[in-house]
Parts: sequence; structure tokens; C-alpha cells
Amino acid sequence: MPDEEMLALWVEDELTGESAATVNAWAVAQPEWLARREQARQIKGLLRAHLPAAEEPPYADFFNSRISREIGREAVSVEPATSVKVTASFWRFFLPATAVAGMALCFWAGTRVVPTPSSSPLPPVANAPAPMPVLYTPEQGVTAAFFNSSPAHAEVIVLDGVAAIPDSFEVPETASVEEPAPATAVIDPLPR
Amino acid sequence: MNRRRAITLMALLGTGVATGQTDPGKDVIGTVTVVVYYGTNGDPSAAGPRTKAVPAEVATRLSREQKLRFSKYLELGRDMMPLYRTYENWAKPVHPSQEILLRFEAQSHLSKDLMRMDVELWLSQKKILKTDAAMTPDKPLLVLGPEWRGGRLIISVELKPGKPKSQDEE
Repeated sequence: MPDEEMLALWVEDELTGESAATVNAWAVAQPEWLARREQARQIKGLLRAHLPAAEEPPYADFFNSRISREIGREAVSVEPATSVKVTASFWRFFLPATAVAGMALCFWAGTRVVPTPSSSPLPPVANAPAPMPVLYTPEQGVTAAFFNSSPAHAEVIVLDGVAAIPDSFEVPETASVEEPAPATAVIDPLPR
Repeated sequence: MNRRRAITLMALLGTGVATGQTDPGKDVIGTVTVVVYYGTNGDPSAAGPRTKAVPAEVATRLSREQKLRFSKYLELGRDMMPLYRTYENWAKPVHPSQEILLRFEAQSHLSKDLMRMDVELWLSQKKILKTDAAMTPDKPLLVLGPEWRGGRLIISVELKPGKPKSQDEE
């Protein structure tokens, strides 16, 4: 029996000469292999019927010249749209200038909109009620309520449901220090 | 010998570069003062001997608000810490105890004087409250907190411009 490589070539009709004759003699008694070769021949026929013939690969010189020719042809075909392209390039030049002008306009508008302390008829922001803060109490059973206290001139958060500090907690001797403290309590009124 | 000199020179240069580098995130943009008050309608001596009387104006201010009204106020502790531009910081008003801690961090400048801050109150190593209060100088955030020895603790958080003198010296 021929080896596998020989059989594969025989199925593809790639064998010639003595080796083809040897395998043909063997295959006469092998209807299964004959059927395989017939199937391969049919598939080849189908492919030849439906696929175009292979083109010769272009030489490098022809390849480049074809590309140049195609570019030239496309340029000619686009010629009628020249006026549109000119307009587009004009806008391409004009766009950055427009963007800069837009930014300058927005900046100017911003300086006009934000009130300055000297000219604004509005009260200072510090006197306006502060925005309502978000309160988050991760401990279960703890609730928090926020309000602005005008009498105390303070923002107040009332916590309910907090576990009491154990009575065993003693105030450390160093906790309450005289103000200003030597190291940290003196405030520089004019920040640098 | 030459190699030793070269190494010394490189070390000196490295030190110079390291000290010359500044982290803008460490800019001090304010000072946060945290004070723990004890308000009680009972016997104030229950707080123990290590307390301090509060100034009259503070007692008046607190008692003006009905929710914070007590017959007697004492100061248990205070801490003053710099507010960094990008970094968080912690205040330990009853230092060295960590029973009451306050974590704070700048969040945004709502205006020249109004700053939104992340503020967290930690009691007994547990986060009890987190808020993004909008702070203004001289307008404290007062938190009516837990009970203790027959009274309640009031934690005052106040933001001031500038920085502690010690920061300048650093």
C-alpha cells in the first residue's frame, strides 16, 4: 500500500510516471480511494468554473506607475468640485480664528456675569445661605439633620441615635490647651 | 578617593533636588480648628478636672440656638490643623485619645470665602457622619454629638484663612 503522502498526491492528480502507475494499479481494487479522487476532481472543476483565472502579479515598476496613473485619474475626476474644496480650505483657515474669538467672547462674558464685590448689587456670597450639604451616617440607627442657625451664626448638624461616649472616657490632660497654642494656634492673617 | 568624592557630590545634588521640589497639593489654603464642647444641664463637675471654661461669647453663641442650649458649657479639647489644597488631614481634639477624630479635605471653592469641604466625624474609631459642608470663615459647623456623663458633646469645626505659624516655619 502506498504511503499517505503518495496517496494524497494521487488524489490530487499530482503524481506522474512510475509512481502514478504504481498507485493506479493499487487503487483499482480500492473503490473508496477512487471515490475520493473523483470527489477531488469534481471540486476542482467547480472552482475552475466559478473563480476567475489568476492574474499575473504586477512588476514593481508597473505597480507604481499604475498607482500614479490612478491618482492622476482621480484628480481629474474631482476637478469639478474645486470650488467646494477652496471653500473648505478657506474655512479650515478661518475655524481656528473663529474658535479663538469664541473663547475670548466667552471669557469676556464670564467677567461680565460674575458679580464683583464693588459693582454687584447682590449681597456678598458669604451672607447668602450656604448650599444644603449632603449628610451620610453609615452607622445603623444614626440620623442627622442639618440647618442654618441664624441666632448662633452657625451651621448646625444634630445627630440622633449615636452611641454615648463611655463614661469611663477621661479627658486627656493635653486635650484642652490655652489659645493660642505655642506651636499651632497662631494664625497668620495674611496668607502668603 | 575620586569615586568617593563623586558619590558625595551626587548625594548632595540629590538632596538639593529633593528639597527644591515642592508639591503644590501641600499648599496650605486654610486652617481648621476643631473644638469639643461639653454641654450639660446637670453638674458640670462630672466632666472631670481637665476641662476648661468656655469664653462668654462662645457660651452665648451656643445658647442662642435652642437645639444647642444647655445651662453650662465646658471645653474638653481642641486642635488646629492646616487645610491642604489636595490632601486630607485629621484633627485630634482630645489628643492623644482617638475617641473623637475629624477628617477633613478641601473639595471645591464655591466662592472667595465659601469652601465646600469633606468632613467626617469619627467616634470610638467609627465613622459616624460624613458631610460636604460649605464652610465660611467665622461661621462654624456645630455638630450636636453623643451623650457623655449626663451631657452632650458639641463638636465645632471652624475654617479660617491663612495657616498656622508652625506651617510657615516648616
